[in-house]
Amino acid sequence: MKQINPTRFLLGGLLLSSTLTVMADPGQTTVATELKSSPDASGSTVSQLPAGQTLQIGERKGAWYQVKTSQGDGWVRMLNVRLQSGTAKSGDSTLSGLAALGQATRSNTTVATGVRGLSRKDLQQAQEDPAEVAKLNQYQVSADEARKFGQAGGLPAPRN
Amino acid sequence: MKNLFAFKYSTIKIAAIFSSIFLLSCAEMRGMNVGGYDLTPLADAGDKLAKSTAETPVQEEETIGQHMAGTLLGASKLSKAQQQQRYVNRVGRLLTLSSSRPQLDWRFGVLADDDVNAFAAPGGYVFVTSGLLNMLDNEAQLAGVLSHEIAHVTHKDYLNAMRSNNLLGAALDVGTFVGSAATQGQTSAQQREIAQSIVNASKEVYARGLDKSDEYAADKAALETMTKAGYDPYAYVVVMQKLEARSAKDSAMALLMQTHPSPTDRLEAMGTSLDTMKIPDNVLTLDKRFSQSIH
Repeated sequence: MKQINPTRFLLGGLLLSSTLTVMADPGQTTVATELKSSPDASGSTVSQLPAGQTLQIGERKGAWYQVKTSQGDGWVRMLNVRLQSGTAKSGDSTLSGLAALGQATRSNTTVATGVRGLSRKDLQQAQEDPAEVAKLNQYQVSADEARKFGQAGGLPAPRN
Repeated sequence: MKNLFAFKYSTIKIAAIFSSIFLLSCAEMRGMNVGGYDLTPLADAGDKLAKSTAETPVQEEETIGQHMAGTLLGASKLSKAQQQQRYVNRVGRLLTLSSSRPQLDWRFGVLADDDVNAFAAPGGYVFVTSGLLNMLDNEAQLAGVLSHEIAHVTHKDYLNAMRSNNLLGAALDVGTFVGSAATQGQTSAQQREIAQSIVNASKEVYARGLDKSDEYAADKAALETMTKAGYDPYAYVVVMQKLEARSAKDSAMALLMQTHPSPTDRLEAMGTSLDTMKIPDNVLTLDKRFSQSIH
């Protein structure tokens, strides 16, 4: 019987809630870039953001993220932005701190969704499983079914 | 009148040259001169064509793919979430209709694995882990991931990796493959040997990963295929930013990071690709259909 560590439990909950708040992902600029008033290169410039400017990312429109920054609010090119935890060293921010702790708990808990880890070693030691390949067939979809599915989603008819 | 006659004459002349080429082998053609045309370049093209079709007949590709998929499924099982399996197959099969090889026997599978990764195998097999699936927000993001794997199949990257590393040595020495027309002459021992050499090659290629240039090319093709199918290609940029944001120290990312260029480098290359692409205004992300099918 495994004992539940209350700190881990709490942090797990915090981590889950932080991933649910999609509308305010922290990020930062990777290069100097213009903060625009609209998601459009021809829109007016609100301010010039330096590389490393932290920001809160809201919605996306095409190639643009809507952001809030200390230099004002507006839109920046998404390719000039990276999500915060990608650059932050452990302990730099609350989020990456939590992420690091979440990581530590991950390997000690049984996750319900699947097996833990598919390593290089697992692949090198794999034995062929033809029965599992046969199972794939029951989910296979015909080209016709796929076309109907695309149409139902409002996608254009496939052309080749 | 004069022009029309000239056109007819040249058509007849070309037809005559082609029919005589049919009677010649490429080796005989080399250095030959018919009606003032040097046939050497045609001979070279003929050789290349003969070689490439000999290297990858579809049947052979399917046989290799079947053993390769079986090897992957030996290391990681299919998820039992049937609705997810069906949904991923629908999105995937739809994308293949915008790919260069819509006629392949495409099959898609969700692997019950918390690791973040996706794989393909020759002949039309594509896999995505539930770990990666759970990171995504919409159908367009899934379309990006699947289109990348579809490109590895259409580009024959896994086949080429096996060949260039001589991993199929034993199988190729036998000359033909299980399932091909010439199989009748093979003993079951030979067939087992061939199958085993494919399995061994598969393990090696999955563990090593493909060339970095293959990964960049698959990203570029993914952006093009998903856009052609009507999905917002910038959704795939979001996927790459999500991967970038997960720490490289995250053990769930280990194999992906070992076998691919860094997400940062891939993002830079994707930016270059997107700059030259024409993207329609009405591309979709389909958030609702995704969340109803996946979460």
